[in-house]
Amino acid sequence: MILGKTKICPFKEDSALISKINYKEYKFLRKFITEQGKIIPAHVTGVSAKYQRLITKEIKKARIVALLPFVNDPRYN
Amino acid sequence: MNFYETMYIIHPALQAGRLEDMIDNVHKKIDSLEGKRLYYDNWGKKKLSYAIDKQKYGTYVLMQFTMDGVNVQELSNEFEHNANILRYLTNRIDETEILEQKEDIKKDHTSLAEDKAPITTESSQKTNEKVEEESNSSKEEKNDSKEEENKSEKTEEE
Repeated sequence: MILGKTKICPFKEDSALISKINYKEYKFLRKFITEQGKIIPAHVTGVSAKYQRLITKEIKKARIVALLPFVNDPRYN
Repeated sequence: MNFYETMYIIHPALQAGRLEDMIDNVHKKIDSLEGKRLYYDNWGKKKLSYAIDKQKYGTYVLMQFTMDGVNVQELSNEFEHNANILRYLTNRIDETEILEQKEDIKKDHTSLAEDKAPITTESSQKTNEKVEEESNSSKEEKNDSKEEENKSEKTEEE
């Protein structure tokens, strides 16, 4: 197994970012979804479990009001 | 009384006058349900991430208010039965999440504001008005740039 560098949670480094975990800040939440619109797992982004829980909830709210996509097919855009 | 936040999307075909009527209706509904409006913001016409009722664009409106929890269901009914509202989302929020009002609603609530805080000097009020005007103009500029973006996107699609 190849050991990569240890990831640090971006919200623990900069606590100002925590207030940006909100469905209205959909542009910020784009960092945590793939091009297809899937939520990126925490072990990839390095976000701690506490904030990953908040992020998923807010992304799902943003999807309801069409600020973020449920699915996004890059072939049709 | 809890704090709530509602975001709703209005049909893109509604323009200026009818749009304002629509928003006024929602505001009246909240007033009639003994709610108190705290914040209102029109985000303007935005592209939807996916089509709703075959519409690619929609006008986003965000508002915050206090209301008895029992009446929220009735407000939802209002949204549900309004064909011009594509989508709505009501959330219960914390008091700390209430945003500061910039324009519009202040005029309606001047009487309420006076009851609460009568100690406001005229000069400070004037400066507030100036700030509001500036923020309005900057907003309009933003909207213009957004529209330009939308146009360019359209041309690309064509």
